Amino acid sequence: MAIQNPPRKPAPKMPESNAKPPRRPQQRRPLVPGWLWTVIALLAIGVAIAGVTGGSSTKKAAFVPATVAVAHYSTLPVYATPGGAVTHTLANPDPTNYNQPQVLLVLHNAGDWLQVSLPIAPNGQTGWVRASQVTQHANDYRVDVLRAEHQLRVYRQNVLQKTYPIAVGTADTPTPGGVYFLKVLLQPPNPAGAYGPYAYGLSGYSSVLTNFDGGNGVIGIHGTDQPQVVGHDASHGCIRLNDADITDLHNRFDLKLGTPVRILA
Amino acid sequence: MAVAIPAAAGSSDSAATAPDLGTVTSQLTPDASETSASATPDPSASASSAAPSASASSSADPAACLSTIANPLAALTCLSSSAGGNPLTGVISQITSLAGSGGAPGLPTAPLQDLAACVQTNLAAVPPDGTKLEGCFSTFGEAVTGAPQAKCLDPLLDGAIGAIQSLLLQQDPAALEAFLLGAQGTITNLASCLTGAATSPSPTATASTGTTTQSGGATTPTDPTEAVAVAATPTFTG
Repeated sequence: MAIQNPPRKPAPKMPESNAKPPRRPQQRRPLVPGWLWTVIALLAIGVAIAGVTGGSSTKKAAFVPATVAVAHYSTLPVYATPGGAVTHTLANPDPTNYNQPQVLLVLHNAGDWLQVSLPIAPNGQTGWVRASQVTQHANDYRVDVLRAEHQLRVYRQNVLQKTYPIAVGTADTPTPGGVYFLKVLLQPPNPAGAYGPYAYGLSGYSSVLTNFDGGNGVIGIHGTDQPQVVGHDASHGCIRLNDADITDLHNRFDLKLGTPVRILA
Repeated sequence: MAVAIPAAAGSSDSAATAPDLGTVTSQLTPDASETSASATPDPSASASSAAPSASASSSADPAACLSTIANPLAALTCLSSSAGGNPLTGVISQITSLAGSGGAPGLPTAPLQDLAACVQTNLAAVPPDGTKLEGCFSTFGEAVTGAPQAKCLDPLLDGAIGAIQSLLLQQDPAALEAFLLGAQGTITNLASCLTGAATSPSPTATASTGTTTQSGGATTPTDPTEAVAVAATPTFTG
Protein backbone atom coordinates (compact mmCIF):
# COMPACT_ATOMS: atom_id res chain seq x y z
CA MET A 1 0.00 0.00 0.00
CA ALA A 2 1.24 3.38 -0.83
CA ILE A 3 1.18 4.72 2.68
CA GLN A 4 3.45 2.04 3.98
CA ASN A 5 7.13 2.35 3.83
CA PRO A 6 9.16 -0.23 2.02
CA PRO A 7 10.70 -2.79 4.35
CA ARG A 8 13.86 -1.73 6.03
CA LYS A 9 17.02 -3.00 4.62
CA PRO A 10 18.09 -5.90 6.81
CA ALA A 11 21.16 -5.35 8.89
CA PRO A 12 24.24 -6.98 7.54
CA LYS A 13 24.58 -10.50 8.73
CA MET A 14 27.20 -10.74 11.35
CA PRO A 15 29.52 -13.72 11.28
CA GLU A 16 29.69 -15.73 14.41
CA SER A 17 32.12 -14.10 16.70
CA ASN A 18 33.62 -17.37 17.71
CA ALA A 19 34.14 -18.58 14.20
CA LYS A 20 37.36 -20.32 13.75
CA PRO A 21 39.13 -21.98 10.89
CA PRO A 22 37.56 -25.32 10.14
CA ARG A 23 39.31 -28.24 11.57
CA ARG A 24 41.03 -30.37 9.10
CA PRO A 25 41.68 -34.03 9.39
CA GLN A 26 45.28 -33.28 8.96
CA GLN A 27 47.27 -30.56 10.60
CA ARG A 28 47.53 -28.05 7.83
CA ARG A 29 48.12 -24.34 7.96
CA PRO A 30 44.71 -22.52 7.95
CA LEU A 31 43.89 -20.47 4.86
CA VAL A 32 42.78 -17.52 7.02
CA PRO A 33 44.80 -16.75 10.09
CA GLY A 34 42.99 -16.57 13.41
CA TRP A 35 43.74 -12.90 13.96
CA LEU A 36 42.11 -12.02 10.66
CA TRP A 37 38.86 -13.68 11.77
CA THR A 38 38.89 -11.51 14.84
CA VAL A 39 39.27 -8.37 12.75
CA ILE A 40 36.42 -9.43 10.47
CA ALA A 41 34.18 -10.11 13.46
CA LEU A 42 34.91 -6.70 14.97
CA LEU A 43 34.17 -4.98 11.69
CA ALA A 44 30.89 -6.83 11.39
CA ILE A 45 29.91 -5.85 14.90
CA GLY A 46 30.67 -2.25 14.05
CA VAL A 47 28.52 -2.38 10.94
CA ALA A 48 25.65 -3.91 12.87
CA ILE A 49 25.84 -1.26 15.58
CA ALA A 50 25.87 1.48 12.98
CA GLY A 51 22.79 -0.02 11.41
CA VAL A 52 20.86 -0.03 14.67
CA THR A 53 21.85 3.50 15.55
CA GLY A 54 21.13 4.88 12.12
CA GLY A 55 24.72 5.26 11.11
CA SER A 56 25.64 6.28 7.65
CA SER A 57 26.48 2.78 6.57
CA THR A 58 22.80 1.81 6.54
CA LYS A 59 20.37 3.81 4.44
CA LYS A 60 17.25 5.02 6.22
CA ALA A 61 14.01 3.91 4.59
CA ALA A 62 12.70 6.69 2.37
CA PHE A 63 9.28 8.18 3.11
CA VAL A 64 6.70 7.29 0.51
CA PRO A 65 3.76 9.70 0.43
CA ALA A 66 0.27 8.43 -0.10
CA THR A 67 -1.15 8.89 -3.57
CA VAL A 68 -4.61 10.31 -3.99
CA ALA A 69 -6.46 9.89 -7.28
CA VAL A 70 -9.00 12.49 -8.30
CA ALA A 71 -11.47 11.70 -11.07
CA HIS A 72 -10.78 13.80 -14.12
CA TYR A 73 -14.11 13.49 -15.85
CA SER A 74 -17.78 13.46 -14.99
CA THR A 75 -17.80 9.71 -14.54
CA LEU A 76 -15.13 7.27 -13.47
CA PRO A 77 -15.48 3.60 -14.39
CA VAL A 78 -14.05 1.19 -11.83
CA TYR A 79 -12.87 -2.19 -13.02
CA ALA A 80 -12.60 -5.49 -11.20
CA THR A 81 -9.17 -6.01 -12.72
CA PRO A 82 -7.07 -3.96 -15.13
CA GLY A 83 -9.03 -4.16 -18.36
CA GLY A 84 -11.66 -6.39 -16.80
CA ALA A 85 -15.33 -5.89 -16.15
CA VAL A 86 -16.65 -2.58 -14.92
CA THR A 87 -17.99 -2.99 -11.40
CA HIS A 88 -18.91 0.59 -10.58
CA THR A 89 -19.29 3.91 -12.32
CA LEU A 90 -18.55 6.72 -9.91
CA ALA A 91 -19.98 10.18 -10.45
CA ASN A 92 -17.72 13.22 -10.31
CA PRO A 93 -18.48 15.36 -8.46
CA ASP A 94 -20.19 12.96 -6.13
CA PRO A 95 -23.82 13.95 -5.45
CA THR A 96 -23.91 11.53 -2.52
CA ASN A 97 -20.96 13.25 -0.89
CA TYR A 98 -21.90 16.91 -0.80
CA ASN A 99 -20.84 17.28 -4.44
CA GLN A 100 -17.21 16.81 -3.54
CA PRO A 101 -14.66 15.71 -6.14
CA GLN A 102 -14.48 11.96 -6.52
CA VAL A 103 -11.33 11.26 -4.56
CA LEU A 104 -9.83 7.81 -4.10
CA LEU A 105 -6.86 6.49 -2.18
CA VAL A 106 -4.40 4.67 -4.39
CA LEU A 107 -3.31 1.32 -3.02
CA HIS A 108 -1.12 0.18 -5.89
CA ASN A 109 0.30 1.85 -8.95
CA ALA A 110 0.62 -0.47 -11.91
CA GLY A 111 1.47 2.17 -14.47
CA ASP A 112 -1.56 2.58 -16.70
CA TRP A 113 -3.79 1.25 -13.95
CA LEU A 114 -4.26 2.17 -10.32
CA GLN A 115 -5.73 -0.02 -7.64
CA VAL A 116 -7.84 2.15 -5.38
CA SER A 117 -9.78 1.93 -2.17
CA LEU A 118 -13.46 2.50 -2.85
CA PRO A 119 -15.61 4.71 -0.62
CA ILE A 120 -18.55 2.37 -0.71
CA ALA A 121 -20.14 -0.04 1.72
CA PRO A 122 -19.30 -2.60 2.87
CA ASN A 123 -15.85 -1.50 3.89
CA GLY A 124 -12.70 -2.81 2.30
CA GLN A 125 -13.75 -2.83 -1.35
CA THR A 126 -11.14 -2.06 -3.94
CA GLY A 127 -11.08 -1.69 -7.69
CA TRP A 128 -8.95 -0.51 -10.58
CA VAL A 129 -9.15 2.73 -12.52
CA ARG A 130 -7.30 3.93 -15.56
CA ALA A 131 -4.47 6.26 -14.66
CA SER A 132 -5.44 8.37 -17.66
CA GLN A 133 -8.78 9.18 -16.10
CA VAL A 134 -7.52 10.62 -12.83
CA THR A 135 -5.04 13.12 -11.59
CA GLN A 136 -2.64 11.89 -8.96
CA HIS A 137 -1.68 13.90 -5.92
CA ALA A 138 0.90 13.11 -3.28
CA ASN A 139 -0.15 13.48 0.33
CA ASP A 140 2.38 13.61 3.13
CA TYR A 141 -0.13 13.20 5.93
CA ARG A 142 -1.59 10.23 7.71
CA VAL A 143 -4.07 10.00 10.56
CA ASP A 144 -4.00 7.05 12.93
CA VAL A 145 -6.92 6.30 15.22
CA LEU A 146 -5.94 4.11 18.16
CA ARG A 147 -9.21 2.83 19.51
CA ALA A 148 -7.93 1.14 22.65
CA GLU A 149 -5.84 4.14 23.63
CA HIS A 150 -8.56 6.60 22.59
CA GLN A 151 -6.08 8.65 20.65
CA LEU A 152 -5.97 10.28 17.23
CA ARG A 153 -2.47 10.86 15.95
CA VAL A 154 -1.47 13.01 13.01
CA TYR A 155 1.68 12.12 11.12
CA ARG A 156 3.49 14.02 8.44
CA GLN A 157 6.10 12.12 6.51
CA ASN A 158 5.85 9.41 9.13
CA VAL A 159 6.73 11.85 11.90
CA LEU A 160 4.20 12.26 14.70
CA GLN A 161 2.88 15.81 14.76
CA LYS A 162 0.11 15.79 17.32
CA THR A 163 -1.96 13.47 19.50
CA TYR A 164 -5.58 14.18 20.44
CA PRO A 165 -7.81 12.33 22.90
CA ILE A 166 -10.94 10.89 21.33
CA ALA A 167 -14.09 8.91 21.94
CA VAL A 168 -14.80 5.92 19.73
CA GLY A 169 -17.70 3.55 19.21
CA THR A 170 -19.26 1.37 21.82
CA ALA A 171 -19.21 -2.41 21.68
CA ASP A 172 -22.64 -2.36 20.05
CA THR A 173 -21.77 0.31 17.53
CA PRO A 174 -18.04 -0.06 17.08
CA THR A 175 -15.75 2.17 15.09
CA PRO A 176 -14.75 -0.10 12.21
CA GLY A 177 -11.06 -0.90 11.82
CA GLY A 178 -9.34 -0.54 8.49
CA VAL A 179 -7.73 1.96 6.17
CA TYR A 180 -9.95 4.78 4.97
CA PHE A 181 -9.50 8.33 3.73
CA LEU A 182 -11.01 11.76 4.17
CA LYS A 183 -13.86 12.41 1.75
CA VAL A 184 -15.33 15.70 2.85
CA LEU A 185 -14.99 18.50 5.36
CA LEU A 186 -18.20 19.93 6.77
CA GLN A 187 -18.81 23.01 8.85
CA PRO A 188 -22.04 22.44 10.77
CA PRO A 189 -24.30 25.47 11.08
CA ASN A 190 -24.34 25.03 14.85
CA PRO A 191 -20.73 24.82 16.00
CA ALA A 192 -21.87 24.00 19.53
CA GLY A 193 -23.99 21.09 18.37
CA ALA A 194 -23.46 17.35 18.42
CA TYR A 195 -20.87 17.46 15.63
CA GLY A 196 -18.97 20.45 16.87
CA PRO A 197 -17.48 23.13 14.62
CA TYR A 198 -15.95 20.77 12.03
CA ALA A 199 -16.69 17.27 10.79
CA TYR A 200 -14.62 15.20 8.40
CA GLY A 201 -16.42 12.44 6.53
CA LEU A 202 -14.50 9.24 5.93
CA SER A 203 -14.71 6.66 3.19
CA GLY A 204 -15.72 4.02 5.74
CA TYR A 205 -19.11 2.98 7.04
CA SER A 206 -20.48 1.62 10.25
CA SER A 207 -20.61 -2.14 10.22
CA VAL A 208 -23.93 -2.16 12.07
CA LEU A 209 -25.73 1.09 11.27
CA THR A 210 -26.86 1.47 7.69
CA ASN A 211 -29.08 4.42 8.47
CA PHE A 212 -28.39 7.13 10.96
CA ASP A 213 -29.78 10.62 11.22
CA GLY A 214 -30.74 10.64 7.58
CA GLY A 215 -27.36 9.34 6.46
CA ASN A 216 -26.14 5.96 5.38
CA GLY A 217 -23.78 5.19 8.23
CA VAL A 218 -20.70 7.12 7.13
CA ILE A 219 -18.03 7.33 9.79
CA GLY A 220 -16.81 10.79 10.67
CA ILE A 221 -14.22 12.63 12.71
CA HIS A 222 -15.85 15.57 14.44
CA GLY A 223 -16.33 17.59 17.58
CA THR A 224 -18.85 16.92 20.29
CA ASP A 225 -21.20 18.62 22.69
CA GLN A 226 -20.46 15.91 25.23
CA PRO A 227 -16.82 16.48 26.14
CA GLN A 228 -17.14 14.15 29.10
CA VAL A 229 -17.23 11.11 26.80
CA VAL A 230 -13.86 11.81 25.24
CA GLY A 231 -11.50 9.08 26.33
CA HIS A 232 -14.25 6.46 26.36
CA ASP A 233 -16.16 4.09 24.11
CA ALA A 234 -19.25 6.19 23.69
CA SER A 235 -20.07 6.98 20.07
CA HIS A 236 -22.16 5.31 17.38
CA GLY A 237 -19.01 4.65 15.41
CA CYS A 238 -17.70 8.11 14.74
CA ILE A 239 -14.52 9.53 16.22
CA ARG A 240 -15.30 12.41 18.52
CA LEU A 241 -12.81 15.06 19.59
CA ASN A 242 -13.20 17.97 21.92
CA ASP A 243 -14.35 21.01 20.00
CA ALA A 244 -11.09 22.81 20.66
CA ASP A 245 -9.17 19.82 19.33
CA ILE A 246 -11.17 19.39 16.13
CA THR A 247 -10.67 23.09 15.52
CA ASP A 248 -6.97 22.71 16.14
CA LEU A 249 -6.84 19.70 13.83
CA HIS A 250 -8.50 21.71 11.11
CA ASN A 251 -6.49 24.88 11.56
CA ARG A 252 -3.11 23.35 12.23
CA PHE A 253 -2.86 20.72 9.54
CA ASP A 254 -5.14 21.68 6.67
CA LEU A 255 -5.70 18.03 5.87
CA LYS A 256 -6.58 17.34 2.26
CA LEU A 257 -9.25 15.12 0.82
CA GLY A 258 -7.80 11.68 0.39
CA THR A 259 -5.64 11.85 3.50
CA PRO A 260 -5.30 8.24 4.72
CA VAL A 261 -6.95 7.41 8.02
CA ARG A 262 -5.95 4.16 9.66
CA ILE A 263 -8.33 2.93 12.32
CA LEU A 264 -6.29 0.57 14.45
CA ALA A 265 -7.02 -1.61 17.43
CA MET B 1 -9.55 -2.62 -23.53
CA ALA B 2 -11.42 -5.42 -25.15
CA VAL B 3 -14.95 -5.64 -23.92
CA ALA B 4 -17.43 -7.84 -25.65
CA ILE B 5 -20.97 -6.70 -25.19
CA PRO B 6 -23.09 -9.75 -24.52
CA ALA B 7 -26.28 -10.34 -26.34
CA ALA B 8 -29.44 -9.21 -24.73
CA ALA B 9 -32.25 -11.55 -23.95
CA GLY B 10 -33.86 -12.77 -27.08
CA SER B 11 -31.12 -11.57 -29.36
CA SER B 12 -30.99 -12.96 -32.80
CA ASP B 13 -28.04 -14.11 -34.79
CA SER B 14 -29.69 -12.97 -37.94
CA ALA B 15 -27.72 -10.46 -39.90
CA ALA B 16 -29.23 -7.02 -39.83
CA THR B 17 -28.88 -4.16 -42.19
CA ALA B 18 -26.79 -1.36 -40.80
CA PRO B 19 -29.14 1.28 -39.46
CA ASP B 20 -28.79 4.90 -40.24
CA LEU B 21 -27.61 6.82 -37.20
CA GLY B 22 -30.54 9.11 -37.51
CA THR B 23 -32.82 6.12 -37.57
CA VAL B 24 -31.32 4.91 -34.37
CA THR B 25 -31.88 8.31 -32.89
CA SER B 26 -35.48 8.40 -33.89
CA GLN B 27 -35.97 4.92 -32.54
CA LEU B 28 -34.74 6.03 -29.20
CA THR B 29 -36.96 8.98 -28.84
CA PRO B 30 -39.66 8.49 -26.24
CA ASP B 31 -42.45 8.97 -28.73
CA ALA B 32 -41.00 6.52 -31.18
CA SER B 33 -40.43 3.88 -28.56
CA GLU B 34 -43.91 4.30 -27.20
CA THR B 35 -45.24 3.52 -30.59
CA SER B 36 -43.39 0.22 -30.69
CA ALA B 37 -40.19 1.18 -32.40
CA SER B 38 -38.42 -1.66 -34.09
CA ALA B 39 -34.90 -2.17 -32.85
CA THR B 40 -33.94 -3.99 -35.99
CA PRO B 41 -34.22 -1.78 -39.03
CA ASP B 42 -34.56 -4.61 -41.50
CA PRO B 43 -38.12 -5.88 -41.18
CA SER B 44 -37.28 -9.14 -42.84
CA ALA B 45 -34.54 -9.83 -40.33
CA SER B 46 -36.84 -9.59 -37.39
CA ALA B 47 -39.69 -11.25 -39.15
CA SER B 48 -37.65 -14.29 -40.05
CA SER B 49 -36.16 -14.68 -36.64
CA ALA B 50 -37.54 -17.23 -34.25
CA ALA B 51 -36.43 -15.01 -31.42
CA PRO B 52 -38.94 -12.89 -29.54
CA SER B 53 -40.15 -9.74 -31.19
CA ALA B 54 -37.53 -7.13 -31.81
CA SER B 55 -39.92 -4.44 -30.92
CA ALA B 56 -39.15 -2.53 -27.80
CA SER B 57 -41.48 -0.23 -26.05
CA SER B 58 -41.16 1.86 -22.99
CA SER B 59 -42.65 0.11 -20.06
CA ALA B 60 -43.23 0.82 -16.46
CA ASP B 61 -41.43 -2.44 -15.80
CA PRO B 62 -37.87 -2.25 -17.15
CA ALA B 63 -37.37 -5.97 -16.72
CA ALA B 64 -40.40 -6.76 -18.83
CA CYS B 65 -39.27 -4.25 -21.40
CA LEU B 66 -35.81 -5.76 -21.51
CA SER B 67 -37.20 -9.22 -22.08
CA THR B 68 -38.81 -8.13 -25.33
CA ILE B 69 -35.81 -6.65 -27.07
CA ALA B 70 -33.65 -8.26 -29.68
CA ASN B 71 -30.83 -5.77 -30.06
CA PRO B 72 -28.79 -4.75 -27.01
CA LEU B 73 -29.05 -1.14 -27.98
CA ALA B 74 -32.78 -1.41 -28.00
CA ALA B 75 -32.50 -2.05 -24.30
CA LEU B 76 -31.86 1.64 -24.02
CA THR B 77 -35.39 2.31 -25.09
CA CYS B 78 -36.48 0.75 -21.84
CA LEU B 79 -34.94 3.61 -19.96
CA SER B 80 -36.04 7.11 -19.36
CA SER B 81 -34.13 9.81 -17.66
CA SER B 82 -35.35 11.60 -14.61
CA ALA B 83 -36.06 14.59 -16.79
CA GLY B 84 -38.29 12.51 -19.02
CA GLY B 85 -37.24 11.30 -22.43
CA ASN B 86 -34.49 8.86 -23.17
CA PRO B 87 -31.07 10.18 -22.19
CA LEU B 88 -29.41 8.44 -25.11
CA THR B 89 -31.31 10.62 -27.49
CA GLY B 90 -29.25 13.60 -26.50
CA VAL B 91 -26.01 11.68 -26.81
CA ILE B 92 -26.76 10.35 -30.25
CA SER B 93 -27.88 13.78 -31.33
CA GLN B 94 -24.60 15.24 -30.15
CA ILE B 95 -22.58 12.70 -32.12
CA THR B 96 -24.71 13.27 -35.16
CA SER B 97 -24.24 16.98 -34.78
CA LEU B 98 -20.49 16.60 -34.45
CA ALA B 99 -20.44 14.46 -37.55
CA GLY B 100 -22.09 17.24 -39.45
CA SER B 101 -20.00 19.70 -41.33
CA GLY B 102 -20.65 22.62 -39.07
CA GLY B 103 -21.19 20.83 -35.80
CA ALA B 104 -17.70 20.54 -34.45
CA PRO B 105 -15.76 23.79 -34.36
CA GLY B 106 -12.05 23.18 -34.28
CA LEU B 107 -12.28 19.60 -35.40
CA PRO B 108 -11.74 18.17 -38.88
CA THR B 109 -14.93 16.77 -40.29
CA ALA B 110 -13.63 13.65 -41.98
CA PRO B 111 -12.63 11.72 -38.83
CA LEU B 112 -16.00 12.49 -37.30
CA GLN B 113 -17.78 11.21 -40.37
CA ASP B 114 -15.62 8.10 -40.30
CA LEU B 115 -16.43 7.67 -36.64
CA ALA B 116 -20.13 7.96 -37.26
CA ALA B 117 -19.99 5.48 -40.12
CA CYS B 118 -17.89 3.05 -38.12
CA VAL B 119 -20.16 3.24 -35.12
CA GLN B 120 -23.36 2.83 -37.07
CA THR B 121 -21.92 -0.15 -38.93
CA ASN B 122 -20.83 -1.91 -35.80
CA LEU B 123 -23.93 -1.04 -33.88
CA ALA B 124 -25.87 -3.02 -36.42
CA ALA B 125 -24.16 -6.28 -35.53
CA VAL B 126 -26.24 -8.58 -33.39
CA PRO B 127 -24.91 -8.45 -30.81
CA PRO B 128 -22.61 -5.44 -31.27
CA ASP B 129 -18.94 -6.22 -30.79
CA GLY B 130 -17.57 -4.00 -28.07
CA THR B 131 -14.03 -4.45 -29.32
CA LYS B 132 -14.92 -3.21 -32.77
CA LEU B 133 -16.82 -0.28 -31.34
CA GLU B 134 -13.80 0.60 -29.28
CA GLY B 135 -11.77 0.37 -32.46
CA CYS B 136 -13.97 3.06 -34.00
CA PHE B 137 -13.09 5.46 -31.23
CA SER B 138 -9.43 4.46 -31.21
CA THR B 139 -9.14 5.19 -34.88
CA PHE B 140 -10.93 8.47 -34.44
CA GLY B 141 -8.74 9.48 -31.53
CA GLU B 142 -5.61 8.60 -33.43
CA ALA B 143 -6.75 10.56 -36.46
CA VAL B 144 -7.51 13.66 -34.45
CA THR B 145 -4.87 13.66 -31.77
CA GLY B 146 -2.22 11.31 -33.03
CA ALA B 147 -2.68 9.17 -29.95
CA PRO B 148 -5.07 6.25 -29.69
CA GLN B 149 -7.35 6.04 -26.71
CA ALA B 150 -7.05 9.74 -26.19
CA LYS B 151 -7.96 11.12 -22.83
CA CYS B 152 -11.02 12.80 -24.21
CA LEU B 153 -12.48 9.59 -25.54
CA ASP B 154 -11.55 6.99 -22.98
CA PRO B 155 -14.09 8.00 -20.38
CA LEU B 156 -16.80 8.19 -22.97
CA LEU B 157 -16.02 4.81 -24.36
CA ASP B 158 -15.31 3.07 -21.09
CA GLY B 159 -18.30 4.58 -19.46
CA ALA B 160 -20.61 3.62 -22.29
CA ILE B 161 -19.42 0.07 -22.56
CA GLY B 162 -19.30 -0.40 -18.82
CA ALA B 163 -22.74 1.01 -18.34
CA ILE B 164 -24.23 -1.11 -21.10
CA GLN B 165 -22.54 -4.15 -19.60
CA SER B 166 -24.04 -3.29 -16.26
CA LEU B 167 -27.44 -2.97 -17.85
CA LEU B 168 -27.30 -6.21 -19.76
CA LEU B 169 -25.61 -8.36 -17.18
CA GLN B 170 -27.23 -7.00 -14.06
CA GLN B 171 -30.30 -5.38 -15.58
CA ASP B 172 -29.41 -2.32 -13.60
CA PRO B 173 -30.01 0.89 -15.56
CA ALA B 174 -28.66 3.17 -12.83
CA ALA B 175 -25.07 3.11 -14.07
CA LEU B 176 -26.12 3.80 -17.62
CA GLU B 177 -28.38 6.65 -16.67
CA ALA B 178 -25.65 8.19 -14.54
CA PHE B 179 -23.17 7.82 -17.35
CA LEU B 180 -25.43 9.21 -20.01
CA LEU B 181 -26.40 12.22 -18.00
CA GLY B 182 -22.72 13.02 -17.50
CA ALA B 183 -21.76 12.00 -21.01
CA GLN B 184 -23.80 14.73 -22.62
CA GLY B 185 -21.54 17.25 -20.99
CA THR B 186 -18.48 15.26 -21.97
CA ILE B 187 -19.53 15.18 -25.59
CA THR B 188 -20.37 18.84 -25.56
CA ASN B 189 -16.83 19.53 -24.44
CA LEU B 190 -15.31 17.02 -26.82
CA ALA B 191 -14.19 19.50 -29.39
CA SER B 192 -12.38 21.74 -26.93
CA CYS B 193 -10.88 18.73 -25.20
CA LEU B 194 -9.50 17.26 -28.39
CA THR B 195 -8.10 20.57 -29.55
CA GLY B 196 -6.36 21.13 -26.26
CA ALA B 197 -8.57 23.96 -25.17
CA ALA B 198 -9.54 22.18 -22.01
CA THR B 199 -8.27 23.97 -18.95
CA SER B 200 -8.16 20.92 -16.76
CA PRO B 201 -4.72 19.62 -15.78
CA SER B 202 -3.04 16.73 -17.49
CA PRO B 203 -4.44 13.46 -16.25
CA THR B 204 -0.98 12.04 -15.79
CA ALA B 205 0.36 14.98 -13.86
CA THR B 206 1.29 14.31 -10.27
CA ALA B 207 0.74 17.23 -8.01
CA SER B 208 2.13 17.48 -4.54
CA THR B 209 -0.42 18.26 -1.91
CA GLY B 210 -0.22 18.24 1.80
CA THR B 211 3.20 19.76 1.70
CA THR B 212 2.00 23.16 2.80
CA THR B 213 1.16 22.29 6.32
CA GLN B 214 0.45 25.54 8.05
CA SER B 215 -2.96 27.03 7.99
CA GLY B 216 -2.99 30.10 5.87
CA GLY B 217 -0.05 28.78 3.92
CA ALA B 218 0.17 28.87 0.20
CA THR B 219 -2.32 26.62 -1.46
CA THR B 220 -3.18 26.00 -5.02
CA PRO B 221 -6.68 27.22 -5.73
CA THR B 222 -7.17 24.55 -8.33
CA ASP B 223 -6.05 21.74 -6.06
CA PRO B 224 -9.03 19.39 -6.15
CA THR B 225 -7.98 17.72 -2.92
CA GLU B 226 -8.17 20.97 -0.99
CA ALA B 227 -10.68 20.34 1.79
CA VAL B 228 -12.96 23.31 1.42
CA ALA B 229 -15.42 23.32 4.29
CA VAL B 230 -18.99 22.79 3.19
CA ALA B 231 -21.62 24.45 5.33
CA ALA B 232 -23.94 21.55 6.04
CA THR B 233 -25.27 19.47 8.85
CA PRO B 234 -23.47 16.14 8.92
CA THR B 235 -25.36 12.89 8.77
CA PHE B 236 -22.48 10.78 10.02
CA THR B 237 -23.04 8.09 12.61
CA GLY B 238 -22.06 10.47 15.37
